Amino acid sequence: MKGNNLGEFEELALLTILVLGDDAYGVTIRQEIEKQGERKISRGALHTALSRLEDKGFLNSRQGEATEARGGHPKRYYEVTNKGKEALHEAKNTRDRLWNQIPEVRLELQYAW
Amino acid sequence: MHGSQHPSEFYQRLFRWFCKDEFFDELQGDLEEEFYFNLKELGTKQAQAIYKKEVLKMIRPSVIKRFKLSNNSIFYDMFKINAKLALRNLVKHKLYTAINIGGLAVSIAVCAILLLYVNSETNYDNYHPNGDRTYRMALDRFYPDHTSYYAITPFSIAEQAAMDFPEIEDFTRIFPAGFGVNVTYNNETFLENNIIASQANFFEFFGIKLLDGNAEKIFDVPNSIILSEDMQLNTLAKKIL
Repeated sequence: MKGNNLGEFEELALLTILVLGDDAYGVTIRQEIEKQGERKISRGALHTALSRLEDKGFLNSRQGEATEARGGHPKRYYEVTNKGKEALHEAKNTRDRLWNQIPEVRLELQYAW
Repeated sequence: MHGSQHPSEFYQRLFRWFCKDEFFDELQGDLEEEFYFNLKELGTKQAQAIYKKEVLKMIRPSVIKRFKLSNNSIFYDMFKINAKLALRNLVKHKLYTAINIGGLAVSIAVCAILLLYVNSETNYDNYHPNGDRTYRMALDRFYPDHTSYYAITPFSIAEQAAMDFPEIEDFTRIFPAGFGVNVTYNNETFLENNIIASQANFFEFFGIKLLDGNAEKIFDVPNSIILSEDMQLNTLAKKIL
């Protein structure tokens, strides 16, 4: 199970965390993914993805502050590790390579035959 | 409980109970933060509903605790040994394992297919009001050396049969009016494969409801036509009308 391959949603999560920078914790990650129009996901589904990414070593997390609105529970901030960034680059390169090999004509949308 | 300004107590406790301790603070904190955000944006009722849904969606392997089957360690050890024994036996007797598991799989599959088949057989076209009393008349012709079976009967047989057999309460007849009729209108040609001629009580007889038009008067005009929704002619008709 644990390889260096990124799942589609994992890639999305990593990129979102990079977009958010220092403010990446559960609530903001979810909001950002939703805002980008990608999809609605449950907090539990996000947790599964994040903990798997952490197991793979693509993510680091550290405990944050607890606020009133959170009922006194501390936040957990996430941060992409070098390994995670490498994996992202690799995924992008693979994709770019494939895109570059497709002739333009074949990418044209065809509506009727 | 309704209208409370805090997440549902019961769901909070439920979550506390099944969530792994190391994740609880983070997840409960996030859920609560979202709850109070939703409370302002969407109101109490929706915020509560979303909170409950989120908690239920937390029931996934990565979040829930590993529950011990029993606190009795002897029971647990015994279970482990038995499970191991069973697995080893399966591996040792590969042929019998294959026969047993394969046979079980095939029989479950057959059973499932049978159920599906029976289910579909008993559940289609149920809308006919008198489906249990409706019969199709067929024709068997007996010759000295063989018998021929026809699904078509002469047109007049229905009226005569209704006179001869008082059991026949009502009848309707259909007649295929053409297989593959080309209908052309404004340079557009449609191929219609299932045009059927019938008599006035057809729709009442089979309990078919009309989406549009007057059910009483549809057969008042000679050579009138009734379109079904999936007919290509229907697209044309919508354009004209």
